Order: sequence, then structure tokens, then C-alpha cells
Amino acid sequence: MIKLSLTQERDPIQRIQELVNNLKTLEEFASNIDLSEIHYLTPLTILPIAAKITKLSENCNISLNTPNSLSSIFFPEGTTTPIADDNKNQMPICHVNLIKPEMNRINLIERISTEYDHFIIEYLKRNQEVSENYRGSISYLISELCDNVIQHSEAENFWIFSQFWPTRGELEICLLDDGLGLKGCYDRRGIGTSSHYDALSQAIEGKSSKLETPNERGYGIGTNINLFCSSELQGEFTLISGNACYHNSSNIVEPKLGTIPINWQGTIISARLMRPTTRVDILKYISK
Amino acid sequence: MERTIYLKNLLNSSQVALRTTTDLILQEILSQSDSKKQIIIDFTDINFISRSFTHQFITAIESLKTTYQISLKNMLPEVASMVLAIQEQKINQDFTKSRKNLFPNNFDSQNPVSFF
Repeated sequence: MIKLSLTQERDPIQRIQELVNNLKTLEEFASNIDLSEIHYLTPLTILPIAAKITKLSENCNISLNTPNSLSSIFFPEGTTTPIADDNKNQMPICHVNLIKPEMNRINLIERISTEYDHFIIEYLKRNQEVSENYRGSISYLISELCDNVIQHSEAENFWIFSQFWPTRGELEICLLDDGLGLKGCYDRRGIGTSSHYDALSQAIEGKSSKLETPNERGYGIGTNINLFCSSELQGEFTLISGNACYHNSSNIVEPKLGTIPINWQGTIISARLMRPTTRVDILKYISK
Repeated sequence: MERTIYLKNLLNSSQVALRTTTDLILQEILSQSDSKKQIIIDFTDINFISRSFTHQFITAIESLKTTYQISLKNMLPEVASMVLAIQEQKINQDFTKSRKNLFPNNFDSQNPVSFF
């Protein structure tokens, strides 16, 4: 049996460390997984674990010992039809299989992103007034990141999960896929990158993975970082692809970029944003 | 004589994504036999802010304006400001002012360092 653990750690780097430790433990796969010591979770720390366990369970039976808090968010399988629970501050985990033949990949992801966006906004409205610009920020994040999955990832699965902390006015959204990852996208299109680290840095710089249109805007990750780490939203942005990890936030001078001791097949993106107290002009953050 | 196309109705009737809506609207416009007819695209209850969709949509509309009389109405302020910026190609203007430091100070893409 392997045991996973998440503490109430607030420091984002420590939370990333906990995630990496748990994913590393899962790589030493065992059929019994004990999650009873997961007392506090965030989308970034739990969604990759859910995805990993779901993938592992495709090939064999896994016995899970989970606390009730996890079953209420449809852990680990997720649902394609999230339903809001008035008593919870978490949205259910939404998981979409993109290779089912009856489903149109693009429409499916866009439908999920539109519904999930609407779902979050309606949920937030129960707890607070949601200004148009806050609403726009959330819509922008979800649509842009889902757009990346559609255009670049070639993923088989897509997951999204979010949590709201009403007293702190914070919202965290995590999206991930099991696709090519950033390096795979560049390599597939004949754009050489020396490592996941190199690919991640090129994506942040805005390099497009489309060889035929190299001047076209790339993943838009730089835009997301600028928007969510802005003084208005005071947020955090984390991106993992392969064995490379990036973290930036409004309250650090120098972002972190480096390698981690796991290799995630695909991409993990997490953003945390504060309820803005001033108007957010999304337009000024958007590059062509 | 004018014809109004309600974005909301297209979304409700077909349950399609916004990207596909662009194609549907363009088909609607192009299907008009009389190019002198005024076409109004009504944004009532539309709250999207997806730059990729808006950019694609407005660029297409702008190119059709040389042939058709098209006007946009009932846009929310967020949408309207996005549309205006795209129409006036101002979207990149203030970008550099709001840039955050994207990379660590000693960053070298060819020499990875450990994250922790």
C-alpha cells in the first residue's frame, strides 16, 4: 500500500512540492492507495492525482481508501456533467474523454469550457457580487486554456476542477490534459526544443507551435501570467509540462522555472486569483 | 429593410460552441441575396470575452463590411471594448506597460536548473 498526504500548506512552492512527492509515489504504483491523510486539498494538488489514478485504473483494479471529502467531488473519475452543491466550496472534478468516436473533439471541449465557466460564475454569485470584469477574467482564463488543449495538445483526456474560498475571496482553477505536452507539440511540428524546460520557456515567450505560421501568437501563456499575476487579481500561475515547472505570482519579484523529479505526460495549468477590488482591464494584458 | 441576427438564439438553438457560431453567422450573412439589406448582429445576453473567438469573429465581420451593411448592437461594455480595440487594431498598445517579469533573473533555456 502507498500513502499520499496533503497538508494545509499555504506556500505555493511547498504545495507544488507535495504534489510532486505524491505523483512520484504514484509512479511506484501499488494496487492499494491510502488517501485518508488528505485533509486539505486544492485543485492543483488533487486534480493531477485524480487523473493519474484514473489512468492507472484503466489497466488494473485499484483499491482506494478515501475520506468523504474526496467522494463529494467525484474523485478520482470526475463527471462530465458537474452539478453545483450549495453546501460545498468546491466544484466537482470534470473529466472529458476526448477520443470517444461519437464526440466532436472541438465542440466538446468548448461546450465543457462554456458550461464550466457558467457553472463557476453562478456558484460565485451565491456568495458574492460578481463584477463583469471579474467574470471576464474567469471566462478568459478558461476559454484560453481550453483553446490551448484544442489546438495543441492532441490529448485523450481533459480535466478541470476549481475551488472557492469565500472568506479569503480566492478562486483556484486547475486544468490538465494527457496530451503531447509543450515539448511534444513543438517536436511534432518540427520545431526543435532541447528539453521540456526549453519548450516551457519558449511557450512562455509566446512562440507558436505552428511551423507554417511562426509569427502567429503562441500559447498565450505570457498573457495569462501577466493577467493573473497582475496587481488587480493578485494571483498565482503554475504550469507543469513533462519534467519542467513554472510558477509566478503577484507577490514575488522573481518567478521560478526549473525541472522537477517527475515526468507529467501532458500539461498541468493552475491559476489562483483574488476577488478584484478595482476594475480589471483585461484588454491591456492581451497580446495579439 | 433590415434583418437582425441574435447571437443568443444561435447558441440556444444549436448548443454549439462560440467558434462554430462564427461560421453559422457568416453563413447567415452570406445567404442574404440582397447585399444592400442592413444586417444587425444583436449581442443581447452574450458575455463572452474569449479573445480568440472575438478576434476571429470581428475580423471576419470587418472583411464582410465591404460587401454588406453590418452593424453590431447591445454589446456589454467588456465585449464592446474588445471589439473596438480589434476594429481599431489597438489591442497590443498597452501590453508592454503591464508586463510582469516572466523569467528568473539568471534564466538560460539551455541550462535547466532544479525547480526546488
